[in-house]
Amino acid sequence: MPGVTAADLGELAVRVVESVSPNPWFVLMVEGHAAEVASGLQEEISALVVPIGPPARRVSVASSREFARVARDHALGVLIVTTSPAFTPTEWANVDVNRSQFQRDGATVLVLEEDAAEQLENTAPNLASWIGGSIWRLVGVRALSAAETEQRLVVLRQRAGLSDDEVVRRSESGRLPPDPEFAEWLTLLGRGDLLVGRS
Amino acid sequence: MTRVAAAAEPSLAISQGFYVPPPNAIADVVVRHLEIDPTSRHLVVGSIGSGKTTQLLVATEALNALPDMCAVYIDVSRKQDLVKLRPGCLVALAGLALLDSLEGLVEPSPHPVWFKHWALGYTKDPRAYDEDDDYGVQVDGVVTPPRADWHEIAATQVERLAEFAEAMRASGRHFVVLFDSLDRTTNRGAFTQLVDQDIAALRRCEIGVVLIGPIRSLEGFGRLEVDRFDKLHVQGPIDVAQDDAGRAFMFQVLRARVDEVMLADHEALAIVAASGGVLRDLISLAKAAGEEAYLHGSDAIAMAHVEAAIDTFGRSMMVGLHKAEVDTLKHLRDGGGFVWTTDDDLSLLATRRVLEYPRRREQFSVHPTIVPLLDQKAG
Amino acid sequence: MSDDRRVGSDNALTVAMRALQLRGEEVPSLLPSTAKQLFQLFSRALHKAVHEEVLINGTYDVSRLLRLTPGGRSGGPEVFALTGGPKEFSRATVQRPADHFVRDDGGVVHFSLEVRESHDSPLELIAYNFEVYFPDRQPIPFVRFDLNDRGHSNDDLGLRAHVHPGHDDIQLPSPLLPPLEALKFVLYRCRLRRDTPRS
Repeated sequence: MPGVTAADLGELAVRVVESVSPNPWFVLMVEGHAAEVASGLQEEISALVVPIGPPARRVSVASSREFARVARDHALGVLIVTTSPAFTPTEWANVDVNRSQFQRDGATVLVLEEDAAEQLENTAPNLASWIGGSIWRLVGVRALSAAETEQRLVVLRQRAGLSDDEVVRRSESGRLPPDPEFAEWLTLLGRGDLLVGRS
Repeated sequence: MTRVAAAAEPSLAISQGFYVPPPNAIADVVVRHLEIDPTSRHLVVGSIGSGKTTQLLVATEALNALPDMCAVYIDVSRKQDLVKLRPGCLVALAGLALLDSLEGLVEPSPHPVWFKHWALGYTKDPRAYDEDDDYGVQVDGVVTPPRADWHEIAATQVERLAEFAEAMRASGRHFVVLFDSLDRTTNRGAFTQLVDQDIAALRRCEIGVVLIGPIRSLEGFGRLEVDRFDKLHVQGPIDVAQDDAGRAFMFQVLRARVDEVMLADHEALAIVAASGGVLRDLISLAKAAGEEAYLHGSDAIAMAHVEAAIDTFGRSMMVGLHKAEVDTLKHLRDGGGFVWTTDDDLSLLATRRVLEYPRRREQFSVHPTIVPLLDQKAG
Repeated sequence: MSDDRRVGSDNALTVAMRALQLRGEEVPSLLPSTAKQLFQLFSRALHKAVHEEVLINGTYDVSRLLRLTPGGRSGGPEVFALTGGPKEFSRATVQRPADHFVRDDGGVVHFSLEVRESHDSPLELIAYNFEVYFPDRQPIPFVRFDLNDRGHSNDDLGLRAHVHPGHDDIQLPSPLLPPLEALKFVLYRCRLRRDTPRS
């Protein structure tokens, strides 16, 4: 089964902030820590742009009724929603049936574990149709790939006229200049232990 | 991309002039029928995102443009928790709308007040609502009075509604009510009973009805079609793969919102093909392609952006599918056909992973955005 | 890379620079506790710059060009390299703008910093370089803020943290900059005053 497209919080914040349609919906699938992620997303959105209107708001709901009430009380601005374990497939079906009551003027972002997202897709087909393709899987920090690391090392080697081994040897014997390029070089070689820093 | 995005909302699309009539638009057919018989009853069924609400709104506008019609569009789910529907809801909603339209046209009488009091009780907890005093009580006896077709709806209130409708006709106009969002209910038994009685009651009052119902495959609706409705209209996905007029229509829907500079013909046609003829998916895909272009820092939508949008859409549609369903979809994709027998099969139709084109020989088809993903492992 | 290797002496300038350096290092750490948190802050700042069109890049370029790469020895404290944009010494005209962070005035921004994480103390800043260069050498070829690893000779010169005003061999003293501040400086500042956008 192919997975859902990946996005990081910054990208998703941009999508949310830039959405201009009335009533846009987004789903962010997470593996645990939904509340923490929701909080992070709220910070990203708030940092990106000063809102015209209410600031981004974060809520947790346990039932479709509670969700409807929140949607009605906060019809404007970005709403980030997490669901408690009490939010069963029946609740999603109720949301679907009463979908009109969940229409808002601002963006609604559902931060859900995978099984909740699956329940939504299977028992709330109207809501799923509103959401369309806006389902994302959260990715976090990305490291340099092996190719990207090598590309940087090539540039460093050419600049200094030294090999990786020579740089490590000089560092071990205290003869390496403390320039930041060498700090990066050693770190990319996995020899961050040779860096001095505070110690 | 504002115009594409805004057009996702049916009422906005119409008011801002983006509406493009589909071939054989249901709105046109319904209006023509109601012109001839203003008390006729129409059932509209169709898959999610196929434009049913838009057709109802367009029909409402077209009817109100006629001098002898007064039409009101009612989204039932906005007024009423659809989980708690019971017989009389539609009569109540129709009556309240009719009374609003009659404002100033009737002689003052207590009937409207009593009716409103009764009708508004439908939004409260049923246990808190007072029975009408003159509701008939079943008495066992040798002669059993004939049971009205709306036996669970207060007969007096139905008579009052008939009075109001007559008052409207006396002023030169027929009243037509168009009910939306009843296609979402999940409690089939109760719903069937409700619609059965309410439609019969509205017929008694000579009020025309257009009602959006769930896809035909829901059992129990067969009976409704025959007994209660004069005409059934099916609004399915447009056959963009095999019907040139359909493809041209969907292309026009996009073109009305996005110009060639932003979205060239080639890319627009790719979006049309990927939508499978589902209007809402067309708009979603166009919006997503626009977002991709923006996130790449582009001013125009390139094919790479369209492809990324299609891929993301397909992946979203596959969330929640289990292996047996994937196998069914592969079977259909590979020419093996589709016969819905199980709940899973029905679910595939209801969630539009399988699309139904009634006019085609092979009626069923896998949603185009899923087709290339069916063989992929988790990525 | 600097090759400035005068052995430490006690002249007045050196004493003053050493004192300035020490004062700079006493500034309470404005760093978050983890490298990941620092990454998020950088991501946010870059997304904001894209959103404000201070960078001409698209949103996707931020996650493509900003990386956090571990480089400590296993078993030891974690050292990370936080890099933005490809390693660059040629300062040549940019062939593919999407491969670099490019400002609205044509300036190309790239940076690298190394930090060390330990669970019982705040994030430790080891070294950095933040640079904005102008391929057409206007108004200045480049400005680069460097922080050397703590080492030997440069400390005596009190120029562990320094700035290169358009020449690799000329250094001016600089306070030790909180990394986020350094990033914002090369994004929003180092411009002709009349063109400076508000950050």
